[in-house]
Amino acid sequence: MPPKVDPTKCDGCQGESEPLCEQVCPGNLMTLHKETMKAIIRDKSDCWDCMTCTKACPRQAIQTVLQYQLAYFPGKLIPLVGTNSVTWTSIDCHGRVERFVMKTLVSGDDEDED
Amino acid sequence: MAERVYIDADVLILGGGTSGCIAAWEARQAGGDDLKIVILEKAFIRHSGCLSAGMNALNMYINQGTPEDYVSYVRYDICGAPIREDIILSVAGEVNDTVKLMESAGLPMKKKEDGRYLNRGKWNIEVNGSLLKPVTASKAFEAGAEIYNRVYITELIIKDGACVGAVGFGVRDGKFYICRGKVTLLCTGGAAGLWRPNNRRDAHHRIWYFPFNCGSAYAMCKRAGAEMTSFEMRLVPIRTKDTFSPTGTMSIGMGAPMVNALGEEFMEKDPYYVSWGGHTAPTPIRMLAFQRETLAHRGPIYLDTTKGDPAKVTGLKGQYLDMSPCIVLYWGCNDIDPSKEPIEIDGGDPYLVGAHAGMSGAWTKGITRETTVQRLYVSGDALGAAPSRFISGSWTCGRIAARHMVKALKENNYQFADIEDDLCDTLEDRTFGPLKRYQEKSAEGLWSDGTLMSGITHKDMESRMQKIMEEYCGGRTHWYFVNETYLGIARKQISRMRQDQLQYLCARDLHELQLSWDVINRLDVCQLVIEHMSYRKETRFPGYVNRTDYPEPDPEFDCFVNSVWDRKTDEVRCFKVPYEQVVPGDRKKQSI
Amino acid sequence: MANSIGIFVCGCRGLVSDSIDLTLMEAELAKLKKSVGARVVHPWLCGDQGCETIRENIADRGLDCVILAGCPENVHGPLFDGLATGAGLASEMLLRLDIREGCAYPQRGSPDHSFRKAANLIRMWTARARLMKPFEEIKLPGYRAAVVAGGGLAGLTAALELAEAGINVTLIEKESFIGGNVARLNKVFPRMCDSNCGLTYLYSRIKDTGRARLMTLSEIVSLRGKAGRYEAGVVTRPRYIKEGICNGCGQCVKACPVEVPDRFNCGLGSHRAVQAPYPMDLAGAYLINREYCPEGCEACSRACPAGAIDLTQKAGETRINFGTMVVASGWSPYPVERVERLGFGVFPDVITNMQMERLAAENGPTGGGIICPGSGRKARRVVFIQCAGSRDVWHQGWCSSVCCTASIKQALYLRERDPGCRVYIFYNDIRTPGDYEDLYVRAQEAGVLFVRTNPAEVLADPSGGLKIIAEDTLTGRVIETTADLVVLAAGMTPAGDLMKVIEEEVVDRKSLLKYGLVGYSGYHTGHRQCFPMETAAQGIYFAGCAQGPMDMGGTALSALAASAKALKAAGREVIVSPHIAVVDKTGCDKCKRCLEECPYGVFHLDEEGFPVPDGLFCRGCHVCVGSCPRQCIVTQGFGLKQQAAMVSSRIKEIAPGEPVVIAFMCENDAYPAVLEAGRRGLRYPPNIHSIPVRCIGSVNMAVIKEGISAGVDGFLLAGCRSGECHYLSGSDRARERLDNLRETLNDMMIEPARVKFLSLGIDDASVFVREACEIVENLRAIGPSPFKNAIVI
Repeated sequence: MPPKVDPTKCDGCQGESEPLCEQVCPGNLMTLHKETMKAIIRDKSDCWDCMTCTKACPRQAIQTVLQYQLAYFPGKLIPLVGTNSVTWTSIDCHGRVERFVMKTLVSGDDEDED
Repeated sequence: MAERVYIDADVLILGGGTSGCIAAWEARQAGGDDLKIVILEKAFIRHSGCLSAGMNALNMYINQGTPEDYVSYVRYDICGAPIREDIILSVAGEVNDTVKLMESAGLPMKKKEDGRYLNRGKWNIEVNGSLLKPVTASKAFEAGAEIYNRVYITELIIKDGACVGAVGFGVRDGKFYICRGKVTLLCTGGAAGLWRPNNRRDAHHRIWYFPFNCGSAYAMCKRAGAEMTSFEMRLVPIRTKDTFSPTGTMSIGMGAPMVNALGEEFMEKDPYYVSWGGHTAPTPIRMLAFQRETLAHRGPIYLDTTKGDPAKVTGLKGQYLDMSPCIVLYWGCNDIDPSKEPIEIDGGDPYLVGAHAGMSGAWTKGITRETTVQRLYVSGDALGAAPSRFISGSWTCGRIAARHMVKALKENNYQFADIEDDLCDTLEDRTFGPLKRYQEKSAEGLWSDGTLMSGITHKDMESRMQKIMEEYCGGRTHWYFVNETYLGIARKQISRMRQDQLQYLCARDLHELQLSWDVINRLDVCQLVIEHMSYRKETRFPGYVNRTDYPEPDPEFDCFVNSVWDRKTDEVRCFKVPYEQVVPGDRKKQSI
Repeated sequence: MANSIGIFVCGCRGLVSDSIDLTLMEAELAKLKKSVGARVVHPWLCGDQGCETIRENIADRGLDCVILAGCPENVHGPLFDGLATGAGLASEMLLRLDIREGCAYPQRGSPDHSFRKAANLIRMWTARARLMKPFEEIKLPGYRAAVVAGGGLAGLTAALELAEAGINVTLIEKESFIGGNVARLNKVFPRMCDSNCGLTYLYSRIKDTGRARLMTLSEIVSLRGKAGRYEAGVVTRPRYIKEGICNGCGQCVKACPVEVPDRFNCGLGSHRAVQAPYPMDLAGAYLINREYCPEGCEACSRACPAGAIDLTQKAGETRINFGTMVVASGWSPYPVERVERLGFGVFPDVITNMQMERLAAENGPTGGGIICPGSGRKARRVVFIQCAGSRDVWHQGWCSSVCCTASIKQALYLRERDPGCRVYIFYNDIRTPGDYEDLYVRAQEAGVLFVRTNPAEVLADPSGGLKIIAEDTLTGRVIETTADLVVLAAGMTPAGDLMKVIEEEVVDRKSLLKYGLVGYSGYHTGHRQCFPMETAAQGIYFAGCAQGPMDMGGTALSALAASAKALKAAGREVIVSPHIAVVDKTGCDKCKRCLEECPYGVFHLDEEGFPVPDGLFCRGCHVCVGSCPRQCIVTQGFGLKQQAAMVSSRIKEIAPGEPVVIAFMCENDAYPAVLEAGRRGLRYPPNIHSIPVRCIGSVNMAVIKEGISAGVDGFLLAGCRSGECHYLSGSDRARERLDNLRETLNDMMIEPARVKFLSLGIDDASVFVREACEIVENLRAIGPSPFKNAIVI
């Protein structure tokens, strides 16, 4: 499920030498394209689909797309990372939407009554 | 010559993963404020390694019973084969404490109404582990360890039979790192990518294990002359078809049984599987059953989620999102609804791991985690003969290793070794070899597509290696079968690659240099696997390694197979090491 | 983290309680469990009895955080702050929550709605309170270094004292030479000694300390920081001639085609655009007054045999870090051409007292001869006119204090060198304080004629000399006399713009109020007895004539006093604002976005490559907090964590099916507009829950995303209008981030209209009301958030 970068959203992390996705990729796969100054994957076949870059991108410019050999077009899976939780939106090929909310970090336990 | 960076550490930790981060924390606790702790990590410590996608459960936790009961379970799950019970016992004794430590570091634990952790089966607990790696790394930061990201370690420095440091290159800066450690912990994970993956081309990394773990720990230990163990005991996983996501979430978590195309729950039908415990039979037996059912043309095989606990189906996708999000996308794109239909499973490419349901790794002295090379310690997947430690056990192993390292450091008053310039030069030449070769060979001409006329790439070598291993060393397409003849061919071909072909391996840039070293390390590990498989003339782990020439277990081999590599002859000398049972009882039964 | 929170709800004598049922509120407060130590509803908290209730609860229940729900923060601020601090609670642990203007007023007549909204707000503020802790003092090390601005007598004296006390000193001088006006003096009273002798001695002692650096041709152009940690930008003009290569052969001067007035000689005489160094210029190299050079002229450069001339040199800017500064920027003679009746600038033989010093000096334009610059004759009849511009409401009101003695000194030069020379001093009052009176007596004995006059007038005399007409105020007669030379006692006026730079760049408004006194310089100065030598900027002190007119003895004394003050400020630890941003390095991965987005550029990279804000220059806008994709910029007090807790604090629908909207409001403009709407009685939907923030740019999108996860239906982010943001770019950043988020929401098939950016000016109450109605209308049409009631896995 290699990451695809939307060039209209990616700002190359403001032209810094290493955009955030390049920093976080455990496989050293993301890099900044020298001319466009947008993030690209060096080799899409090498990605493990951990989605670290997708979750980390401050511009939400990265989408993960399954290899066509494995899955039909055009499903989507979009994470939205909050402070102590993450939501995922899964949109299948027919446009059906499923949403999930997950905790990511321990937060101040709320014992209040509703 | 590359710019050199010199780093000295009291405790040198190679690999900032599950073990390494917690080892740093424990070393600080045990060693005090003055200890200099250094971690070298090839990626970025907050998001590197096996935990980078997250994990939804901790598979080792003593919910019930005693540490001895856990040992009995581990022994059973590996079909009663020899394991280092002393090591498992040492981990089981403090794993619960480690989990508590990680909860206080911010890991959200799922809990039952009575406030206890929510268990999944006997030995697992559920967590919201999407940020498992950042939380793990936070312990290393808390310890005040000096962390060097993006340093790829290529070789240990051995002097007088002791490990005195390591060298490597900066993946981004291209500098040559020369690190001295009074004690060194090697925990750079297991090995994926030795055999050919099921998916090809752009999906070839869609595998279960972390594809960027290339067995560098095994390869470096081997090259350092350490005694290695159990390389025949590889892990052959049954995982979800195509995405190779973990299956425990469905099988243990919601109790989904394996069924064949006829809808039969074969694990509860065949007396042989029943004798091993049916659905919860040992991991290799379940793998064996999968193979047999498929070969008997009753495939495809499924995990029948429609028969599992319906209350848990709703949470299933969420749990996968915490660990292997791609399967949720896969289901969405392929119109698969696990509540309405069973989920197809498949056998994946074999991996070498030490902490999961495999036990390859370095042999260690007692429970110290010190290898036969003095001052070199291992943990996590690099530690051999002690399977089923998983994440929580690897954290704990890191702690135990750290305590022994600090103790040895203090008792023996280890000092930094002098590392001669000659040695540095040799190591540097070796480290940057593929990069330098590219510069030389590119002068000899390029084809019109820009490739070298007189060199080969890491990709070429990897394909060749995977083809040999797949076809002659029991790959997925060969149903994991081997015999001595096949192994002989594998031995010959892999030796040819190692001895004759590496001289053509070229890397255009630092990224390719990293990948080139991945393939160099993998080839070294291949040699170990072939020799170990060949030496164990029996079938002790059916499903993992099926020897057609010796299809039954042989009491002669109720022992560990260890080996030492001879640098001069390039031969791996295998030998038997007796098994010591620490926890009494039937080895093929769980105590609880 | 607060462990015992007191929640006090005020009925505001009906203003709140008429709309919000306080009895029901008691039951609502009881639902808040964790860390709540007191729950009080009270009809009137700002009354004596109400205050006592708060005080008692803080003491008896050990409250460590207090929420006051009632009137807005700008009402009764000092009362409640004082109450809290009096009860031992840090003022940041008192959280004011407005349920009057923002809740009771706009929802007047809908008690259910206003009650629910107030209950929600209290819930949010409680979640915030649980994560509050008292500020810790943030200290930065101070620089043990001083800057002395001005290389005259005051500056040299201060520099010597500081350097001898072990402080590194940078001495900054605007001219190419040190000594300032003193260097120009022929003789120094009262001992009539040589001025340069003393200056040279001072400078050699300074050099001996090894702790001083002299920068000539340099001026401070910018300044920031506070006592203990200042940073100045210093611009150094080039000499255009390389020191060390120039051997002073003078070939260049011969080649130079341009004459320029001689600055050292106060405009008497001239030299070429390329000139030999003035006396007390220690560089030992020639220099070029480039502003006078004809376009493209390179005559000097071609003539120089040593190749020392480099006409391409550029002015250099240096940044200097220091802890304290002595302002010794000195004085200039009052521009006496402004006193038209005195004829300066009209008649060349009317000169100033400083020019007189140059005429009398051996290294002056005439070699010490008192030659009239206009007529070229030896001066035989000289009239001094005192108070030229001084003590004159039309010019400068003050007495310049030294001119009387100076004129007497000069009269004595004249009488001593030429006993036949007639010397008159036209004065208002002779002021020769202390033992300078001796000089006055000596002058009288030497035959100097003192004439007490009203303002005189200088005219041309038909004989070719000058005619002076004045009223003799002792006899009442108009006297008329002639002179070869008229010397005007030009008063002292402060030199340079340094104080302007200081007051504009580092002094806050509060200090200016404290320093009510305005000195002769027109700048604020400390009270002479209580805060001597102080400027309005802490750690910056006056020395010499920068503060007021004084003689050389006084100057030396004031420099000593200023150095004593400066010693205390150099190296002093600096306590900075508790609101500064701090980067949590364990979370940071050096993406450097904060560097990009900080409106003030206060971030730099430390040796490990982590971004670090300079605590002293950080203005606490928290725009970096909003920018950080790793959420690892932390601030004390109200920040990202508290905001996240507030948006996920189980906010209930105002009525079943009604959308929940959270509005982050810039506290400078947008929030006051919301309060104003309430005050004006404008009605808007109760669904809007406002949270005031320092700057809308401080809101991190992770907070919004957290709110979306928690099922909040809509978000409104209200900031200043573009270009009007109090923190320059905060509001634009917020808009940009929100635009980006809206695109993602669109991808996620969530209506982008759920989040909206709004520009609000402080008087935009009705705009706010219109927009609030609109977003609620929209959200009702769109329906509830898909994450509402989502199962959290």
